Amino acid sequence: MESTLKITLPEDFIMLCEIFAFKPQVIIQLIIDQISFPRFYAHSHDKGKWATLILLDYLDNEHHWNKKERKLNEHYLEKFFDTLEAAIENTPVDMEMAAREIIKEWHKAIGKERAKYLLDNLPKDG
Amino acid sequence: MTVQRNDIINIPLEFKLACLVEGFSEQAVLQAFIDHISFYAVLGSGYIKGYREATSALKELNFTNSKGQASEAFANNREIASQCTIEILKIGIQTGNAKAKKNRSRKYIKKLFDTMERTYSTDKLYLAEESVLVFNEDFQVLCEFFNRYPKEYLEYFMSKIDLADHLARIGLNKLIVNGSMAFFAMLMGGFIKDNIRNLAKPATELQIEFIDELQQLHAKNFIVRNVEKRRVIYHNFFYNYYNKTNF
Repeated sequence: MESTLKITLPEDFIMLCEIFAFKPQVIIQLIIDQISFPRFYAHSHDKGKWATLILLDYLDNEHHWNKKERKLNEHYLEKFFDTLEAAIENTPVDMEMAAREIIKEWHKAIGKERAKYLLDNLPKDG
Repeated sequence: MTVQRNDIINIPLEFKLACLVEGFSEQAVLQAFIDHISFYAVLGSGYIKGYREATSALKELNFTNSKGQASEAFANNREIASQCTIEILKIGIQTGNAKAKKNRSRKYIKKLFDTMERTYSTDKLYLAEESVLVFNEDFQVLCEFFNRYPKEYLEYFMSKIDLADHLARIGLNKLIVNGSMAFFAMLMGGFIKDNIRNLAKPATELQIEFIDELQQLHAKNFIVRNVEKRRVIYHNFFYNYYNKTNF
């Protein structure tokens, strides 16, 4: 999926881009390529863990949970953790696949939840 | 009846782990706890930082596991004991600064201390040959008042220290009332500046690596939404470090 983003490039970052002569999008792409719960939790010694750590830290400390979705998210986080625990004897690759299935399921469920919310709040036809 | 003497003090594993993780000296933590026991804080009103937390640990033990016996130490001096207690209670309900009221109650505590006949209290307790805990008057008076050996208070305090549980609860916003742990958390926050941390030696590679991994573990634990499961993860991580440092 491609997307056009509007972001602020901080001065320190721009200077590094210019010194080392790389495009900002190269680094941003590099960072977001690393962000993955299934990969992060299945391969504990992966060197590409830092980007996901930043995301986790953000979720843990700064992100405001949507109250209505909290229960659903807690449920899937728990399911995700249990899946990892159950797959601990498997190979990291199998573990990653099992973990990704949960994220897909979670993603679907949250989509359904939002659709339901929208439908329930449609103005009644007069 | 089990004999509760002072000669052997049991230091529980979780307390050892918490001190190790924070780089605290076990003796210094116990001494800080003792120094913040206040007879006034048992009876009087108002918040005095550190004193309320430490003293509430001691109250918890006395009021939840009460031996229900009258103090033997004042059997021959009941009049003086009740007079002093009443005076302290009177100061307690006055308006004004809690710290100042605590100071005003000092002379009555001194009187109780001078009057009591000792059964339970001592003024010192050796943890090891070179390591000694010193008990203030408040602490000793409270030992006699509630028929407790110093060891009992100290062991109760230590039994309530569980850093793994504390971190799990903070992360999930599920803190519970626990005076002992609240006091320990204040020490973690730098409540007492001197002699709590073992700062003599520079940090080892193992320590640096541990702190680094702990920070990552906080983030990694995001997916663990259950206090007990998080506690186990932290505990295992601390215990692993404990084993490594003991080689």
